Amino acid sequence: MQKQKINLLGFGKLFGPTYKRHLERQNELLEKKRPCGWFFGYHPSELNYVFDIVNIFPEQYSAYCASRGDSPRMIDDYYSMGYGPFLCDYFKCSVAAIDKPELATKPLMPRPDFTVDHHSICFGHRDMAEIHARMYGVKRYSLAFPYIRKEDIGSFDDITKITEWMDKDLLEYTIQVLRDFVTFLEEVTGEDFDDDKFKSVMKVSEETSRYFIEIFKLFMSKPTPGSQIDLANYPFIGFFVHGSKYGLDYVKNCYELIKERVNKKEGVVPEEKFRLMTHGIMPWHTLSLYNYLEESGATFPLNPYAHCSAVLHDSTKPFESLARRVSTFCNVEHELMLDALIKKAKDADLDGAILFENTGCRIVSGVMRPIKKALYEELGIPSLIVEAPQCDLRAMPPERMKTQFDAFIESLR
Amino acid sequence: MYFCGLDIGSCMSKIVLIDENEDIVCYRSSKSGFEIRKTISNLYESVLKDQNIRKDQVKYIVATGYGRNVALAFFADDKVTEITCHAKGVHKIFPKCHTVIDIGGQDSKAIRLDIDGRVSTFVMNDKCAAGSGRFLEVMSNAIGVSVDDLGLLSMKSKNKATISSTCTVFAETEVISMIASEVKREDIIAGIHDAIATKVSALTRSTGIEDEVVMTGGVAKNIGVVKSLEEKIGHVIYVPPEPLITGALGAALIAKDRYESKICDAET
Amino acid sequence: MIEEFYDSGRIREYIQRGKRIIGTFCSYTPEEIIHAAGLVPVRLFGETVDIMNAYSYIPNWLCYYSKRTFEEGLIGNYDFLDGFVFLTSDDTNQLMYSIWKKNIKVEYSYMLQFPFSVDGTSKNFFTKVLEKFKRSLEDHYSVDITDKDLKDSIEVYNRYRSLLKELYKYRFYTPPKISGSDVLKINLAGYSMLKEEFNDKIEEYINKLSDEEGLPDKPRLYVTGIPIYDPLVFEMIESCGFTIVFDDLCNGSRNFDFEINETISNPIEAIAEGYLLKPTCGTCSRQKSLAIDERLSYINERLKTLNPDGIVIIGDKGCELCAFSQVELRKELAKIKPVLYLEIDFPLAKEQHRTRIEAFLESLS
Repeated sequence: MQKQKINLLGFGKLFGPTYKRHLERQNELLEKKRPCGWFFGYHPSELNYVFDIVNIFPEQYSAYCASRGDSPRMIDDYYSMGYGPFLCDYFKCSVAAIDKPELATKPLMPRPDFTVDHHSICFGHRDMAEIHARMYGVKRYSLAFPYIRKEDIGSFDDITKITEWMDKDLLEYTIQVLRDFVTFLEEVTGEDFDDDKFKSVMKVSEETSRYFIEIFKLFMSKPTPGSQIDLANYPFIGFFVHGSKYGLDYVKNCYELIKERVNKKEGVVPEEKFRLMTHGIMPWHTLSLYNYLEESGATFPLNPYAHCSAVLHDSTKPFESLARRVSTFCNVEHELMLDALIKKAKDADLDGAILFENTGCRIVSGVMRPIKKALYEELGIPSLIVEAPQCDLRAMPPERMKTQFDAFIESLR
Repeated sequence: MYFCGLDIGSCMSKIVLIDENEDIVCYRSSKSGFEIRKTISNLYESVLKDQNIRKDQVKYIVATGYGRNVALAFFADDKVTEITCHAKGVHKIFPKCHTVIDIGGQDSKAIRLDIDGRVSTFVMNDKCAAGSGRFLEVMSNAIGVSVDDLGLLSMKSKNKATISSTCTVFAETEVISMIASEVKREDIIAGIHDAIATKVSALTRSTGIEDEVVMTGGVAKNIGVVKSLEEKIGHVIYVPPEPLITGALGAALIAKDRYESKICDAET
Repeated sequence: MIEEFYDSGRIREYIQRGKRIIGTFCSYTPEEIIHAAGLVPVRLFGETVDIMNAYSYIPNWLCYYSKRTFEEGLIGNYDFLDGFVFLTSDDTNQLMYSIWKKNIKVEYSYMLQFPFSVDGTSKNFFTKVLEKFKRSLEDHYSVDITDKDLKDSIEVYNRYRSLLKELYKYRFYTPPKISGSDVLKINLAGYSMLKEEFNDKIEEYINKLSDEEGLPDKPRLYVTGIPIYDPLVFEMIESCGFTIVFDDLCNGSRNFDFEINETISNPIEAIAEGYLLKPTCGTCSRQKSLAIDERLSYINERLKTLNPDGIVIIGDKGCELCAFSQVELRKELAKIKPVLYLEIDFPLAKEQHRTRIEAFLESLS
């Protein structure tokens, strides 16, 4: 089979300067001795821009360690601390970076003044924040967001994540949790909450979410306009720097690129043979696995993981808007999530799905078999589930994975 | 007066006979095999016969290892786990030892000793085979080299291969594909040793490492693994002349202690 | 005597009497409300060891409890259930709720929000959550749950908790009057009984126990770790020469070492507060402290009074909570007493575990 040439959208090229701006902000704030927080599964990221907090994301750091090839030796160190195999790879790397900095990818994360977690992406975040806080002897703040059941919201729009309704008590509670957190940040910084600044940050965030959603829709065009490599930095913006000007600029520029390509009806490869969905945390150690498939003509118009944080805002109701983001893909019961997914799968006109079971991640791994079943039963779409911890390629060697990919593609013909 | 220690492991059974001065009179080992009872009696009787020792001269027998319960049922006077026995045996040979690393057929363990040679803490491997003698056996089969030759062969390696898989079965596949792509045999072997050392060093670290470090068990005969482990933990590792029998030696020493305290109790 | 508690026919008997059975999974489940609705809450154990079907639905590396209960559900061993109630207490519970709902056919299923933080905001919310739960039961089962019903159930459960507390005391005697395995069996039996019936039985048992002679004196253990629904584990440990004098498992002391304030006028609020303040498993904590420190201080207090010879932490690689906390727990507890970390999986590799337990015993002498 002839390998096809991949024509990247170029999101990756845009990311370099964006990340540079992010680091510049961090360094500036560090120099000013602003408080530094380590954030686990963080979604009200806007508040960091309101309070000028140094925002560090151990998970992003761990993904970086994996892409640099340092994660295996860090994970070996993690095991030597006495931990077991079935925990999040992100935790494995970030704990090891504290335990044995000499083994870890540089630059290291700056020391935290506090940690923050919530469990509306996964419960593990709570534990991670706690253990890291304990290792450093610093405060931990936990946002006890609720889990979303069907009876709480009815249903949610598969693209905008706007819910049919939201239980009044649940919404009030979530807003209160956020307000309590603001009080904590006021204590940490010794400064009062700046309402105007909050509104303007939320305005930026709203615009960002609009671009996010447009890009999401355009990605499902036929032929698929972009590669998964284009999306690799996307979760960083969505999860961690929502509300920043550089985040907004990034998605705005991405939007221009993808719009242009879709208008020209160009695809990421010259001849699209299969349209696949992919879900699960990306295998950061070997992102070329996506290319392996794309080169064979199998493209990915749909990646719910990368778009998981895209929730349409209404910045005129800033607290409510933040609160409504608890309805992420990961924080709802399967029935809701599967309904939304089936709708999207139909829109994207899929031939199959490649699902990454991230060993140690219960939320992602636990939903793969139900997704596989639902796609097949509702739409007749076959799926391949591959076990792929996101930072440790040793648990599933890429060669072995490619064999499975090949067999799956052969079965689609 | 003689005392006997018997270590019935998953692969090998070992016997040690000591006299009242705690000197080793004789030791021997054989494959544990399917009929453990037979293995035990054969070992015991052949040792007595060779040394011209009567059964009534052996005052106390302590069994250890996975077969200790079987041995206690029909033969031994007492049973003690191999962890305590290894500690005891190693302390006899290396009185300054504080850390024992034992890699057996299916088990690997790290034991911390206090100043008197008593076990202060220990850890054993989980059910994964990757840190055990079994791993070496599987790999030596794949390469077609005898397990006994692995150590020396690996010392020739100039360009150590990396075994990236942590699972024994995946690692075997990896080794086979390395053979297919003509990676040098010694380099593959060195990579295998590294893989096992990584796993075991992780285990060792969870008890903490304090000098002197002594390695026992059949795998300690493999110089390649010992060297690789030294590198990983950053401590010199001492290996007793017969690393296979420290458990049985410990059992024999405990047999002597128990016998003496029994006599003592009887007198008072 | 112990056998008398253990009666698998009892659930069928309740059904024959027209009762409906609700399965529960977590010691944070406010069973009082279910009880007040005239239903029988039953904690599920997952007795099956061979997992043949569950892995087509869930990863094989989840905790033993989730795998075993789900397998039993799949093969029809829980056909006595009219419904089940989950809590959002961790990722596994969250996903298992969806998976149970989809694959195990029952009349009623409910997911309760777990109160992760102990503070005013969460207490208000948890009270509302429990009110909704009450309404949901009322609607589904066409019953009225009055405040009187709730208060009666609170009384039954408070008595249940204080009796178990009493029973545990007989373990601390020198020598102990009852083994850890027997206490576990009684505990387990209580989970599938109406508490008012169980209370009478256990009261009678305790009265007899006070006259009994003690057990042989053996080294004493404090056990902590994952929930143990299989008496085999305790039997294995005790048969190696130990007595387990205390356990703070989810189905041990953490199940009863709290009470619900009967003087609070709104019974739902009282229940919310009671469960919120119950000894934590490490999921729930005050905002200013770490759950693991709260857990440690609970254990330390008990270690001080019990002064056991050693501590066994029972772990399960698949249990997220345990897998995260065990390293710190081991480190901290080892500063106080010798610690053995025993990682289990089923079918139980008894020989391997016995070696570790016996070696631990040898190291204590």
